[in-house]
Amino acid sequence: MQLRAYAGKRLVFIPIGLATVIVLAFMLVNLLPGDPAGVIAGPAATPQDLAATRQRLGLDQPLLTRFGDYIGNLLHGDLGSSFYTSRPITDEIFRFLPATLELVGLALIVAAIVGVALGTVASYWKGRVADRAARLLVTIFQSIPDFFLALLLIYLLFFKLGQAPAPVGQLGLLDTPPDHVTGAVLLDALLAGDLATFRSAVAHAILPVLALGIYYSAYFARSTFATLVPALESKQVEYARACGLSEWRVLGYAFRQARTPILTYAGILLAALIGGAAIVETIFSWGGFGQWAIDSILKLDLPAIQGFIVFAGLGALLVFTALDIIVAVLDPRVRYE
Amino acid sequence: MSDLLEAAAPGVPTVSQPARRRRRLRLRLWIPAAFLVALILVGFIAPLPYDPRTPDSSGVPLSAPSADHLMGTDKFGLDVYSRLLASAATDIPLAVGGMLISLVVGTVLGLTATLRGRRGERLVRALDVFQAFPLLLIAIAVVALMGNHLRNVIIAIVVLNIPRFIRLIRSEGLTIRESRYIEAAQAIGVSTTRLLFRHMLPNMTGTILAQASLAVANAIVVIASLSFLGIGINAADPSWGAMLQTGSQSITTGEWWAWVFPGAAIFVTILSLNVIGDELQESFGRAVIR
Amino acid sequence: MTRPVAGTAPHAPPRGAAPKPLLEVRGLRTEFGTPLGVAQVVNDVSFTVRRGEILGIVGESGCGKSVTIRSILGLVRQPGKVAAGEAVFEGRDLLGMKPSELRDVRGKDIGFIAQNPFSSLNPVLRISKQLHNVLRSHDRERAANSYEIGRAALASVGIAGPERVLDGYAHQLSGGTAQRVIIAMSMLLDPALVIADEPTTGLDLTVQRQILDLVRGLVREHERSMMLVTHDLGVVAHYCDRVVVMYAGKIVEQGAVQEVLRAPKHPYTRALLDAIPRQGRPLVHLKGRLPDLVNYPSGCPFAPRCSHAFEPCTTGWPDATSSPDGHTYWCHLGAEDKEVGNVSA
Repeated sequence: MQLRAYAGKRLVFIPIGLATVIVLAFMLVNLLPGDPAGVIAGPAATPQDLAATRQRLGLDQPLLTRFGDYIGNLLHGDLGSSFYTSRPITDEIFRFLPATLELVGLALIVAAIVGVALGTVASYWKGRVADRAARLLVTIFQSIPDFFLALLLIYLLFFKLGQAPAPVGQLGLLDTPPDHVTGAVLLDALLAGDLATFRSAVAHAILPVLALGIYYSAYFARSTFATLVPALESKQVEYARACGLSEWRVLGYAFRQARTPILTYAGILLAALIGGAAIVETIFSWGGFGQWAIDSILKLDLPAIQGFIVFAGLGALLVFTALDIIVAVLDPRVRYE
Repeated sequence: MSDLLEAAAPGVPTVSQPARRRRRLRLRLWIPAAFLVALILVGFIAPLPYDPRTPDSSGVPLSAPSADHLMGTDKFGLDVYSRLLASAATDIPLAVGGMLISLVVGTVLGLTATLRGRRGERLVRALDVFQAFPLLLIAIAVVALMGNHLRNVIIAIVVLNIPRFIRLIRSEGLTIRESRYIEAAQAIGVSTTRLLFRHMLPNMTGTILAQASLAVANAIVVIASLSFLGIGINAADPSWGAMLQTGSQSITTGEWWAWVFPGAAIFVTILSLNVIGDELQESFGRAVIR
Repeated sequence: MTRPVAGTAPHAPPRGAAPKPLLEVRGLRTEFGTPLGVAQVVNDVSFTVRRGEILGIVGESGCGKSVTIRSILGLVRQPGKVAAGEAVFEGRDLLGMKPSELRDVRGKDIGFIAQNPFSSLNPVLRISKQLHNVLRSHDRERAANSYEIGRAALASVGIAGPERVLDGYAHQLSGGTAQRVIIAMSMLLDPALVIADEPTTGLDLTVQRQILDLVRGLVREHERSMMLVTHDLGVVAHYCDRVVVMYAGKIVEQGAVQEVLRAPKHPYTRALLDAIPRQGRPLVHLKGRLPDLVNYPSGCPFAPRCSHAFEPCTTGWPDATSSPDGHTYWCHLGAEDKEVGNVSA
């Protein structure tokens, strides 16, 4: 079937998935025990304060009304407003998202380079010392939780060696942030031509990017290994060698077989890391989406929690559909199934 | 003929998996396994030199490792070593318990998905989309919203790990279902449940064990993350994640023992579980991308 | 007259102008590591391919014929290993070459026709690009012209409308056309030797004939040599000049095709011929299974399945028995033949 028809089929699934996520998010947030009004009003609240808070937050309405309101607002692109700051959730999301995208994007690049390299070494020299060493390294990387790795890096590179700056955020406490264009400090500094700030931003990014990058390189390494080994043992690669093609080109052929799963993994990780980098963001005070989400959870800011779940759901669906379509473009056979 | 006979004999594995019995499980399996067993035993049985919850008089806050306190003391004056072991007794059983529940539920769901064909396909597809979710965040949300109980932590672990078992059972199940001896069993009229439990499951035990090990590793990370953020487990209860949190507050002042030891404990435990899981997977299974 | 010394490979006597051997394989041994031990997959194999001749290598699945040609081409990967032997091609030992030198030979001096074109062709590259890559690896200058050369090559293997094939992908082709592409690729750089590994398995019968006719035509026309690996004696009978019969990693009989098929000496060859279904005769089949390659039996590996097996068959590998025209076989029964080689006690 043509690419367009294939894409069409995939796109249809998004609204269904999204509807499911919306309902689940609403149910999760509103049906669980726990009284956010109590937390928000504070421990010194009187019963009248509590009632007033509940009314202000709309928590005294019946469930179905709240659901109806929510859906109504959603159709206008309104995810509600924070219980705490009263700012629209959509604003909050887009305020914090760029920092996370920057962090996660850079981390994934590091992870991909390190991971694919390790995986390739292990596959190509399978059975030999290089393979075992590479795989040992990969297992170690996968076993250190990213937040512990972050702490180790801070201790070694900041405290002991003094090479990295203190983990106080995207920039140092004395730096002036660049003009807001994208919201991602590194990019904005670059766009503004502010090299001093840019350098500071880069320095502050190194540790968190390394922490995430090293941990997630394991996923790329394993994915590369799992697909490259059968590719290198395939009839296709054997035939390519029989035709006298150089080992580099042969490796390229093998990668063409293997690249689809690697790319798929990259896409999924990107989506998952938007929220998955939360703890590392917290450690580095990065001011990103994940950190905001955790704060919202701890404060029981219900609209924010609902909002980020719906947002994450939409993100996951979009990523999956995009990946499906990209895979179809890369591998012509998929379209003909 | 021999296929039919073997199909009638319950539980006898006849599927020719790659060299399953022939390979002896190697040292790489037994060393981490021994370590874990030792850790659990020491955590549960060994007498702790100090009370992990209340500091005693000798506990000077943030004192470096010494003869008195093998791993030093944390900022409350609690002995790190004792607290470390006590955390093992909290975290590991929690992780294992969560894994067991998700294993059972996931296996049942996976087996039904195998038999349902089309609908099973869609279920697994939906599960795949969840991989792109920030699952840890949602787990945190669930536990925070439902209240700080251990029970909720287990629920979070269970929910997060069910998909891996469903996926595993279904993929193994589909492969095994196509094999000759299942065909033979169906031909002689073996009932579906018997088919599932006597014929298919025994052949999956190896890969199930492998995934179980990996699931426990994942559970430990979830528990550590939750307690690092102060959710789920009471602040006073010993947990590696909580120890990491309190210890990390002295990271910029140089008292490394309060957080390095619990972090190392998490690392070594997860490393052992991952190695065991990998070894089992290699011995018993086909290559699966985790 | 040849009176072979015990255990060496025979040389056929010169016919007409003495054709020098193009490829001489001597004492080839290839092993595979398995969880149960080391398997002797190719066990002391020696044969020659002369210029301009088509040599058939025949045997049932698992006899080592495919591994033999892969050993010669250096395509054996872990856990397999070429343990011993020489493969002297145009004066150079392929097995002793550096990998870069061997890569030079592959594709240019020795062409390879794979068994399944859809497993061998790259599914995500256009055919033109794949041809270009092969050219580029050996001859940068000509590679600039790869589209034209490709078109001519595809036309020479009987593909009408070669542009459509060049611009497309492997999975769009029929089995026969895909195999023609493989054949074209194998002869692109005018090799002296073409190695074909069961080139017609999986194709329709009518297409099989066409493909084999095509290959033979291309080989003869350019006076190339060919090694044709197959399990089909019919193919050997129609297309090969000489034949080598393999069993369990060893050669049991070899010689000119007419000789071997008309008057097979080794019981295994006879059994293969008997097994060909014939009208009016009951179906004959060989009982038993291949021997364990890990614990390689002493003596003749065919002994357990041989109806003529007697005492010496289980104790020692038989010596060669040759006739003057180069028909050689390895069987203890040879001692009892009128044409006597060296008799083992």
